[in-house]
Formats: sequence, C-alpha cells, structure tokens
Amino acid sequence: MGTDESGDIGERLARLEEIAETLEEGEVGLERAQTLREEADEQLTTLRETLNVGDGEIIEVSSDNTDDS
Amino acid sequence: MADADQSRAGTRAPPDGNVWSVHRLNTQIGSVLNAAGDQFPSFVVGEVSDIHPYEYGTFFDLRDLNEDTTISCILWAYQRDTIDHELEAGTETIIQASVDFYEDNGQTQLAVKQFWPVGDSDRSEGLEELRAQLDAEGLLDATAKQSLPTYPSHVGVVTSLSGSAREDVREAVRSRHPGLPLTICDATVQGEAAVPSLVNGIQRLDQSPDVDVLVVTRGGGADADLWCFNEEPVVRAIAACTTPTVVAVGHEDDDTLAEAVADRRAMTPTDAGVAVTPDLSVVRRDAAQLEHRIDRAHDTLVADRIDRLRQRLDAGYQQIERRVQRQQAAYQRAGDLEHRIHAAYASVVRNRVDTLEQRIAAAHRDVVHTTEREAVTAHATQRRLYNLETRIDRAYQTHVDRELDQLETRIKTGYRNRVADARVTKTETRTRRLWAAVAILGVLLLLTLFAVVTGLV
Repeated sequence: MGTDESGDIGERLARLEEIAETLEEGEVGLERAQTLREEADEQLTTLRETLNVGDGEIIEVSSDNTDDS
Repeated sequence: MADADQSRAGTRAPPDGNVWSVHRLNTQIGSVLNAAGDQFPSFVVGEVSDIHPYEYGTFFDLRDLNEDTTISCILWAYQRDTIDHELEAGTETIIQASVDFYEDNGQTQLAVKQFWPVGDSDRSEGLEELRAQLDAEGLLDATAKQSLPTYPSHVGVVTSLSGSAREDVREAVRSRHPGLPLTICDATVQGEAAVPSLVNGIQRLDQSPDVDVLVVTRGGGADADLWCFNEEPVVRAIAACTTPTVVAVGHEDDDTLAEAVADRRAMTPTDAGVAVTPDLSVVRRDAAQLEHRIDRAHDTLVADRIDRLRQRLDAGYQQIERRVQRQQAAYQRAGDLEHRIHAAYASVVRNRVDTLEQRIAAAHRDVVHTTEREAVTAHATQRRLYNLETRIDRAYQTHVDRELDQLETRIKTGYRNRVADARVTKTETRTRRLWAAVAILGVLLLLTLFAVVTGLV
C-alpha cells in the first residue's frame, strides 16, 4: 500500500487543523503559541513543497505479468 | 474487387480500370438490398440491449441469443406510439422489421414495426442469478465497502492503453493532483480475451505494494462490449481486492456487476479519476484557510496576551504612580514640617536670643546702673568720708588748736605760774596721752572709711 508524502498531506492538514483549534481556543501561553505558530509554518512549508511537485510518474504495464511496457 | 486487391497487393502503383467511389458503392449496395428484400424474413428474434429512446424514435440493439453478433434497430416514434408495451433490455424479443440500408453512412439496420417480448434471455437470467448470489454473500452490501484513501500515494488503473478511458483517467488525475503517480495496467476490455486479461490486471495491481487505490474502467460501448464486466471471474476478482477499488464502465446508464461489487462506482472513467484523486486546489485552499485561521488565532492570542500585560502594566504603573504621589505628598508634608520646624526653631531661638539679649542688655544696664549707683554711692561715701575726714580734721584741728591753745595757755599759765614742775610735767603727760587718743581715733576713722568704700558695711 502507498505511504510517504501523499499520506503526509492528510496528516499535515490534520495537524494544522489541530494547531488552529488550539490557538483559537486561546488557552495557551505566549511561548506555547509561538512554538505552535512555528510548527504550523514548517508544516505549511513542507505541505506546499509536497503539493508543488511536478508531474508524477506514469508506469504502463501489461496484464500479462511477464510483459511490462 | 477482391481479385483486383489480390493482383495489386504489395505494389506501389494504383489499380487501373474499375475503381468505384464510396457513393457508387453504397448506392449499389442499397440497390442490391432493395432487390433482395424478399430474401429477408419479416420476423427476427434476439435479445434487446442498448436502448436509447429519443423523441423521433428509439434505437436499440438486437443481439443473437447464441452468437456474439448484433444488429442495430430503430423504432420510429409513429410506430412506437401504437404499441402498448415497452422494450426491455435483456429481454428475448421477436420483432417485425424490414432491412434498411443508409447510403450516407453505409450502415444497415432494422426498421421495427412491431415487437413481442417472449421473456428474459438466458444471459439475463444468468446475470440475475449471479447478482442474487453476490448479494447473498454480502458482496453488494454497502457496509462491506472499503473507504477510499483521502490522499492516495499511488493509483493503479486497469484499462486498455489504446482506449479513451486511459486518457480520461489520466487527465482527471493530472488536473487534480499532477504529482500523483499512476500505474496503468493494459487490459483487454471487450471480447473473449477480456475476462482473463481483466482478472490478471486487477490481481496484479491489487498485489502491488505501491498502489493504494485501484481503478477498473473502460469507456462506453454496446452492452455486448461491456458484458465482460458482468462475468463472474471479473466480478469476483474485484470483490476480492484488498485495495479499495473504483469501477467505471461505460456511461451513467450502464450498470454492471463489477460496479456493484466495487467499493465505489463511478459513472465514467473521468469520474473514476476524480473519485480517487484529491483536488490539490482544494487542499491548497484548505491550507490557505488553515494558515489564515492560524495567523488570525495567533495574532488574536498574542494581542490578547499583550493587552492583558498592558492592563497589568497600566495597573502597576498607576499603583506606582499613586505610591509616588503618596511619597511626594509625604515628602511635601515632611518638607512643610521641616520648614515649620525650622521656622519655629528659628523663632524660638530668636525669641530666646532676643530675650537673652534683652536680659543681658537689662542686666548690663542693671550692672551699669548698679555700677553707676555704686559709683555714686562710693563717691557720696568718699565725699562723706571726705566730709567726715574734713570735719574730723577740722574738729581735730579745732580740738587740737583748742587744746593747744589751752595747753599753751596752761603752759603759759603754768609757765608763768611755774609753780611747780610737776604741774607742768603733768600737763605734758596729758598732752602725750591726748595725742595717742587722737592717733587711735584717726586709725579707726580710716578703717571705717575703708570699710565703707569696699562695701563691707
């Protein structure tokens, strides 16, 4: 099954949602807020790098297991 | 015509002589068919499929019950409106029709005048039996469907590399997520070879460790072309996939068992590509919205904290200001008190000094007065003493003179009388005694005067 960066998109969005909700609740101190903000910036940067990749590979194979093209 | 093809095959030179145009050919075919009209039956039996009704008429295919052959049919609206029953796909039907040839496109079809359904075909009955069996096994149960991954990392596609479905899926995926890798497994999607080809392709991609969502698809076609997606091996291969599977066969109105057992049915190959691919523009929009929310929440939180700190600072400042004001008031009061104390002290000292000066002055005056008075007194005393001395001296002198006169007189008398020396001697003795008394009296007088002058008296 697939893994890595595409899976990370959902995880990063979920983490960003969590950070947004935590900050919106306003129950954290300034230091924690700064830490969360920096983490959000890193998550957003990595997420955008993931989203801005070029065209993905297209692999064409034959239904005959021994005859990939 | 066939002979000419064989004689010229393999040569680059065009054929000579009898070369027909398409129009001439179609016209000739039409003429032949019209001439042979009595050679065709008026009634034909087959399985109805691919029904497409329009206002002007209904198109459908009539499929041979035993062979994989079909012929197109048209039931014009004016004929359709006179018939009180409906065409049903999958139904074995007897139709009354004539053979029409259309010279414009060279197609032949049956112009239907009447039809009579005679029951489901064997193929349709087999399809429904398999559907019922799959249903009994729970393979059609919606709760048994797997969820598609929201953000797949690799999409597998089983379709024909030469079909339009491949491009439709690829375009749909690329338009939404250009970076998403695709593995496209070429498969035969119609005809006798389709079933093993589709099964192999499905199983191969299902076993691929990279693929986390699978699309099985083909474009539209006649029911006969799509029938392989109702074949049990294909249907069961899809149902057995551990990878979430989307099946899109033909168009919206095409319904196959492969789609029924899939985790998700898509209407078209494009819809299948859309179904398995996250729209990155939406992801970017969501990310931007999250960034905006985080920015706003962070700024609000920081502003709130700063506001609270500012309020505390203001309160502290005001408290300090009040304290300073109290201290300044205390300093002012202390200054006032100090000033008052200094003033009072200076006043007291000045008064005391003035008093002392007055007392000193008074004392000085008293002393001066006393001294002056004493001086006057001393002067008066001295004068008095002087007067007394003078009086004493005068009295003494007077007395002495008197005594002397007396003594002289007596001496003279005694002398003259010189009666006896003893009398004269006695007078002299008395004179000496008197002189001693005068001396003593003078000393006493001096002592008295001294005592008066020195204040002893």
